[in-house]
Order: sequence, then structure tokens, then C-alpha cells
Amino acid sequence: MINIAIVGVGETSYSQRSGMSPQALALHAIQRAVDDAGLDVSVIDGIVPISNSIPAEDVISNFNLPHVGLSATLRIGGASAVGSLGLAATALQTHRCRYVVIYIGKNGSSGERMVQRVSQLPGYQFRRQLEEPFGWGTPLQWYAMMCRRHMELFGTTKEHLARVSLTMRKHAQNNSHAQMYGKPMTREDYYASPMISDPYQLFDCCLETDGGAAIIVTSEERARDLRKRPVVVSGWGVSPPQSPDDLTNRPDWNSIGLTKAAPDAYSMAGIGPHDISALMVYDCFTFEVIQQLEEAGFCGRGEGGPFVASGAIEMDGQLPVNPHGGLLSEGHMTGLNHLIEAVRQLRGECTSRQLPRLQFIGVTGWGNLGDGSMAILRRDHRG
Amino acid sequence: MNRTILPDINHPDFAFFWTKCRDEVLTVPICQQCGRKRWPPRPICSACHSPDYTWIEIASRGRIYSWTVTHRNMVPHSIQPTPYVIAVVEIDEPRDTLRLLGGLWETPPEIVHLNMLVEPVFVPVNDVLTLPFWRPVQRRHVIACESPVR
Ligand SMILES: [Zn+2]
Repeated sequence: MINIAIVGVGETSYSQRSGMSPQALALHAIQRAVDDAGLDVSVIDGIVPISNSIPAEDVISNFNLPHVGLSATLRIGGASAVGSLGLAATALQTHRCRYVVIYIGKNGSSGERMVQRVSQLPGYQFRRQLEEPFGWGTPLQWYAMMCRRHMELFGTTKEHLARVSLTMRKHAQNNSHAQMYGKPMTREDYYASPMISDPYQLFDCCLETDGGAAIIVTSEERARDLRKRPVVVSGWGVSPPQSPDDLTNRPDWNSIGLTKAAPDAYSMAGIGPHDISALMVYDCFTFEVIQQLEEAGFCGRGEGGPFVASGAIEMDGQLPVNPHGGLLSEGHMTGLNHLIEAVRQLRGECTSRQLPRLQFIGVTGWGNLGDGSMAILRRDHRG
Repeated sequence: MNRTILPDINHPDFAFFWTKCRDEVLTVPICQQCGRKRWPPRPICSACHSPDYTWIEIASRGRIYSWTVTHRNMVPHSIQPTPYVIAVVEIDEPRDTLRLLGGLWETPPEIVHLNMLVEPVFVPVNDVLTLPFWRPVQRRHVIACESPVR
């Protein structure tokens, strides 16, 4: 089996109002990723649009790509970016493709909002018939309910949620690309933000974002001849939760897709959680960080709140999380920005927020009603 | 603009449930092969995969499994004004786990707690649709049952 590596990353600026089409955002990001790798765009022969991004055909037409061996999209929402590495690996290992682009371009803030995408999610008939009539119909409300149960069972507190939000905002102050760069937040600001659906206030929620992001994936062997130091995908896992089309009757709410995806990723990489130097967590909302830290094995179930409160996820903590500020403070690029940050950290390109002594970086994804994914990235040994 | 989303009472998988709500009875599908009750309604039994089922009345009593208090109206709206409480209610059934999503009717958010006992309250929305909401089990009912001489 061949190893795969990420060889190029690119993104547009992230904003609340891009003034550009999703097509333009995606195409610009792809061009930057290709340039970053030192490739000509015509070598791209595998196309993986993330979730609700513009279709592969738009990319093929715009770049006039001569040959495309595979185009496919995983429909697992925020778990798709990391999960797509698995798809790319399959395409590369069967030699169906040589260079795969994974991308997104969207006006998530000024265009179609999350609430309009719910109808494309699994089990929508249950949402539409049994849940929306009671005013329960957005991911924010679903996850607020999961958070509340965790609080009742384990003693997780609003202060724990605040700590996640404050940490992400603090990290964003070292990232001029982040939407919250130059906008520090105090604990008072957090608690003063509008209550949306208890326990979630505005600052428990990620930033709906306009922008584009892309990465280029190829075999580790080809990667060594390219411009940048390759970042190898050591392991990956993708898993649905139990009853992935219905949260209400899921037997155990503590168990999520990541509960299975993480062990798959560790086992493929031949490492465990203690080997991970830093983690990019899919921080769609504050509690989801706490739950994923637990389910990916960085602390015991129910211990995520105290783990966060100990300062463990800070830049100088035992497990720095999202140095770029994450979805909460950099922007919501459906997790592709987490992969990009992991690559730049492993290359040593992160200047003022560069983490020292990195070996393995974990990246998680979370989508729909708890679909999970995890990738483990490392530097190329010979790089 | 009314942004409440009402169920389609003619949807083949759910029609029976809504019909019985008008009679103030909660029902779920029960598998005719293995006898398991299931929710939400699915065309086949997830346990034995039999497509044969009928509907059965369930206990009109449950416990709060979790809840959220929605302060800002999103899409869709509830028929209740904000802030409103939405809860997952685990029905008191001996064998099968059955949880229904519903609103708490005229219930102050501050009294809601995990495992709180609730009972259905059937709220007619129009001539053909009744929505099952929930409310804390009324204290006087409990006392009336426990000490009939009171
Ligand atoms: Zn059965």
C-alpha cells in the first residue's frame, strides 16, 4: 500500500461578505493550492468537492482539465474534509488518480445559511414530520440538547464552554487570516452574547463564513519531488454514529462517530492519543470540542470540561487545539481550514503561532447528526 | 410571516400517528414478527428486518432525557412564543427505548430537570391536526392517585 501526502494548500480570505461567487472562491483556492505545490493545474485528475460546494464539473470546465479519473463527494457534512482524505487515498492507491484536489467554495454567511441545508441531511423526514413542528430544526439546537445532557450527567459547566470559546478567540489573535483577528474577547463579552438556544449563546457558535479552501493530495513518492515538504497522512478513520439518521432515539448519546473513527485512525498510524502533539478539532460549537476530546481518547468520558479548564488546549498546554482559531474564530470552511492549519504547522510555516516539536497532528471532523472522522498527519521522514 | 412548519398528516409513514393524536392517544409501530416497538416510524424493523407492523398505544408518561430552551427564533418556529422549551422525552416502557421529541407546554424553563416526569398535553392546531406537547405530571393527580381520601 502506498502512503498519501498533502502537497499543496490554498485558501481565499474568509469574510462575512465575499462579493464573489462560490465558483470564483473555489477556483481561486484551488489555483493557490496548485501553486503552493509547484504543480500545473492540468495534472489534477481526481476531484473531491466538500459537501455543498460547487460541483466537480465546474472545476473541470473552468480549468479545462484533460483527464479526470474520479470525482466524488462524501455526504457527511463537517466530517467530509477529513473523510475525503480516505476517498483520495483509495483513488491514489488504485492508481485511478495521481493528483486529487479536495476543495470548498461557499458563501456560507452572505448566501445559503445552515438552516437551508438541513433538508439535505439524513433522516430529513423525521426532522420535517416530528421535530420541526416543535421548533427544533437546526444543528445548533440538536447539539445544545446533547450538551445539556452531558452537563447533567457529568457536571460539565458553562464555564467550560466559555473556556473553549475564549481559547479559540485568543488563538485567532495570532492569525491575521482569522475573521476574529484583532477582536479579542473577554469572559464578560462571552456571557453578554445573546442566548440562542440554551446552553448555547452566540459565542458558543462557529462563524458562518464566505470563502474558499483547497488541498492537493498525491502519493508520498511523488510528493518528494514537489516544492514543499510533504505532509504524510499516517492514518484516517471515518464512521457514522449509532442511528445516524436520528439523534432522538440514538441508544447512547455519549457515543459519536468519532468514537469509532479515532481508534481506526490510531491503529492505521500505529500510534495512540499520547503521541499526538496538537489537535485540530471540528469546533462547530463549544461543547463539541469537549466531547471530541473525550471520544478521541485525550481524556476520559465526562472529563472534557475539566481538561479544557486546566488550560490543556492552550498554545502552551499539553495538547494545543486549533492554533488558527478554528471554526469559532477563524472561519467555517467545513473543516478544510483545519487540515490546512495542520499542514502549515507541520511544515513550520506558522510564524507567530508556530508550535514547537511537532510530530503527529490529529484532525477531526464532525457532521450531520454526529458523523465522525479523524486523520493523523506527520512530516515526511526523509523530508 | 408564519414560519411554523406543520407535519404532513397524509405522509404514509406518519399518518396513523397524527390521526390518533386527535384522539389524544400516542401510538408507535410494533413489529408483528418480533414484537419490538419502534420510534421514529421506519418501514422495516431494525431488529429483525420484518416489514410487517401495526400500531400500538404507548404509556402516556415519560421522563426528560434532555432539553434546550430556545430564545431566538430560528427556522422553523414553534407555535409557542420564545423562549420555549424543547425536550426529548423517554417514554416509560419496560422493554423498548422510545423517545419522542416535543415541546414543553407552558412550562417555565427553570423548573425543568433531567428525568423530570412529564405527561402529554394534546394541543389542537387546526381542524385536522393535534400536536402532542408535554408538561410536568400534575402534582394533584399524583396525590389523588396515592391518597384517594384526600
Ligand atoms: Zn422485528
